[in-house]
Amino acid sequence: MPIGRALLAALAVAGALAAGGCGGDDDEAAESSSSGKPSGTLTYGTWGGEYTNALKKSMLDPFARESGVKVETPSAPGEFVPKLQAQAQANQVKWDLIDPGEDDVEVLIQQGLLQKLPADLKAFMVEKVGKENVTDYGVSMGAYSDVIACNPEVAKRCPASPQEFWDVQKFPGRRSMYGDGWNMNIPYALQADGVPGEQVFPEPDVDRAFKKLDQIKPHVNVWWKTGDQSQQILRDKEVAMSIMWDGRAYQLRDQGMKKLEISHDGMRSQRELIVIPKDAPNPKAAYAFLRWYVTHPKAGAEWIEEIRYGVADPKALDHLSKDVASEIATSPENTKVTYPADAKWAAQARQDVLTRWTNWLGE
Amino acid sequence: MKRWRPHAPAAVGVALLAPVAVLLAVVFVWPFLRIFWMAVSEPTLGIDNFRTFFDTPAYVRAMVTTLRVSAFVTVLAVVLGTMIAWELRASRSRIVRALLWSAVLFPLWESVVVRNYAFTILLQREGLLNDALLSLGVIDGPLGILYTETGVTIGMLYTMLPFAILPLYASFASIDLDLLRAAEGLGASRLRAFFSVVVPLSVSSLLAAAAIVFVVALGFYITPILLGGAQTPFIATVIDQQIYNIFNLPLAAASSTVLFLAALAILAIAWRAVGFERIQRTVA
Repeated sequence: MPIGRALLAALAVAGALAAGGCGGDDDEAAESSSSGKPSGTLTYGTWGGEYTNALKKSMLDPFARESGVKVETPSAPGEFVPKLQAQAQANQVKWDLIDPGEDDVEVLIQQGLLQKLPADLKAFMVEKVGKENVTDYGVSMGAYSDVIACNPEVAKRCPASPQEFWDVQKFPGRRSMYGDGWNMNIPYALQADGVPGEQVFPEPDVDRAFKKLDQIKPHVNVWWKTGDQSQQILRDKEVAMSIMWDGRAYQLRDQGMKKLEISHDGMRSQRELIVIPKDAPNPKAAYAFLRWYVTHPKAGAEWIEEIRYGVADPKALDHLSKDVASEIATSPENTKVTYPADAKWAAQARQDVLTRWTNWLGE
Repeated sequence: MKRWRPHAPAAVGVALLAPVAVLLAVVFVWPFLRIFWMAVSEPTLGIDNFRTFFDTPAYVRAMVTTLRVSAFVTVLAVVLGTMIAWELRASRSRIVRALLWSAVLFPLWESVVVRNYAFTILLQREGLLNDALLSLGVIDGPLGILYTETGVTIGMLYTMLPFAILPLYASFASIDLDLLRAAEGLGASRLRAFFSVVVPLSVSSLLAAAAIVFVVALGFYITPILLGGAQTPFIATVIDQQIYNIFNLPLAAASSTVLFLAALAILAIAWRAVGFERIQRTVA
């Protein structure tokens, strides 16, 4: 009977699909070779907007042309963890690559949602971009740091470190800090209280930080919520100074606030990691892109020109003008005065400290 | 030949209702039950998620802020909306009506983001409002309206006014203006005539307008973020944080349930206060 046969065929296909979707635990992946010609579609879940545009223009489009792989870039800005959880639960992982912040990567690792890099691919990437840029699960991307940005047309003197930002007597002026920045403001409070940046982690003294935050709170006029807002309040002179993301501050300066003072001193640096979800539909394409990524420093340089976030490959800096190269978070000048944020702490403290932060902010 | 009857048999009523009932069941009742079930069953069976919600001051505060601001916006929108809708109905000047209609409809055509940024430009310290008031000498220093609850209230009111005006206008349009003239002829003042004739005839529309504004206001997300302060988040922001920052879906489900039940309770109280019979009478 035709209907019966069609049904059987459909069931067989569904079964094969399900088996394909569920197969491949990380040991298996880690042993198999990561080279070989990719095909089909690479689905790269990323941040959307300018970020995705820059990524396509500098890397994904050239990669697609050279490899013949079709690339799709669904957006999931800051939503990688809950979305991948949902995809894994439904047994329908859709992404081959994602680039979450390192804290979110820690959470994903703890929940067993990521695939370890194949050993040969990891070795290849370490050789190309150095072991500090490669982990068991991924390779660094989109490195950035916080900065203190200050408009000298409004502020009499501009603070250039957390201590100075907290010193409202010597550095008067309307202030802004990140309203959701619990893991940003706790380290700075400790530094303002005298803890050297490199000693803030791995165990920040949260109680001490909140005491110090109590001191600055009455002087914070705007707790910014979005990157756009962090720019707009400085542009419109709603505030004189702000602790914000470096890319946003430089963009503001390049768009006409020529005098804006931007300091990296004592600030945290952070990065994203390009990682592969467990049960990714097309891991071959993911491996191929990672290989491409660590062997195309010029593409990395173009990416930095577009969006001012760092890439894994230090050689990218050689293809940039001195001005641009010295300003990004991964430049030797800036890495000297900044320190890396501890993603493990953020992942583990998140629930308690973020809730405490939200309570504190509304008190 | 079949005899004509004023009332269709019950079966016809059920059949006519079926599409809406099915739609509501699929897109509303079923998802809500799933959310409620998640709130009471994950990670363990019980009311732990609700306890967490009520034990966290920031969450309770966000809920109270949301309900308070939404209620305030509702009152303002209905009062102002009544005035505007009545002017739309009663004004004899074409120009006034055309201007009012465009003022009512424009907010509906703007994108939410553009609208909120427009208010940012108007309300900020060096914005139009403060500049105007300062140069007129009304105030000595700039008013801090932006990034406060007042800023959020203004932004929400502007967005919600058309939602109040349109149902009220529909109701006012069916009122015979001669009734007011009769009332005035019998000695009532303009205001008295309005409250004794128009309001009773429009109770159901007033209530519908209030309900629409209130329910939509509860779900506001981007306006409180862009015009308000991080210190006083709305519940939608808190739920977003529970999902995307602390990855606690069951807690977010519990928070949504609390919001839903609170809204339902307030609507029920309002319904009762106006009186069900009165509504039925005006509807019938």
